[in-house]
Amino acid sequence: MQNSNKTRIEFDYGGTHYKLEYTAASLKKMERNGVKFAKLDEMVFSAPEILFEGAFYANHPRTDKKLIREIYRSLKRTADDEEPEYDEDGNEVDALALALGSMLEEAVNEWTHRSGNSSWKVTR
Amino acid sequence: MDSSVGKLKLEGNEVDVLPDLPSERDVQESNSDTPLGDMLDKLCPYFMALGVSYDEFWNGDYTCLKYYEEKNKLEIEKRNQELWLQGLYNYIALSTVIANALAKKGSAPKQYIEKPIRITPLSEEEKELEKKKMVDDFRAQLMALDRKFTQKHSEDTQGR
Repeated sequence: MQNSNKTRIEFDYGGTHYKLEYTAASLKKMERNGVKFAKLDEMVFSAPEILFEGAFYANHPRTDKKLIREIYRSLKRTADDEEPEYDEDGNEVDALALALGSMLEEAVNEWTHRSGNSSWKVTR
Repeated sequence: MDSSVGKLKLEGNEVDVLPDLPSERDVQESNSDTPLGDMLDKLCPYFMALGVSYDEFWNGDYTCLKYYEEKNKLEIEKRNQELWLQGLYNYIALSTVIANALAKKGSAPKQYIEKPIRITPLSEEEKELEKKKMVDDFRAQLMALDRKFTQKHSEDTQGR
């Protein structure tokens, strides 16, 4: 959608164009699969692959889990138009995991803001 | 969301004019352990009442939902304006009937307004015409007054 402000991650892999995003249906499915949105911050660092997999549900629901993991491992950790960042220990910051986290945070906060439930708000 | 939005105050009682969002009690009862899916299930009928399709709610772009909420507010405003205008017409009609019923015998009956009340702004051309009409009416009144004065003056002169 042209006027949308929604955050998405797009890339090509194996000749296929992938557009990753979260929808209400994919959030619900992720939750059924065990994702605790209240602990999103922890998940960004401990299990970014799960967030990555959840972002496939909306537009690529039939993608094989093995392929998703393969794609995740193969992707650079920094977006094409950005310079890599390093933490205090000199390790490259996983910008992909952070992007997934903020994409999910945007979606979760959008819904929880509507329901008025401040206890759900994810902040950094 | 402002809790006063979608409420209409009638003689101290609040009346809902918007479809129900999950209530504040629901929200207070829920905590971070409440599944987000449950919240989405509660929000789905609310947005469907605003015109969002089931598919659009679950699979569409959630950033567009705010436009449905804005649209709904505008529709409520529009409906409110229409009802207000309807009330005004009723008031004028009733006033006309009562005035005629209580009027002295032989007095000219009061008429209901000839055309609908204008609610859209006047165009530049219409404004000019309106101004010209006002000037013409004023001029006609002055001339009538002048005629009256002249007639009275000549009657007074002849009477002497």
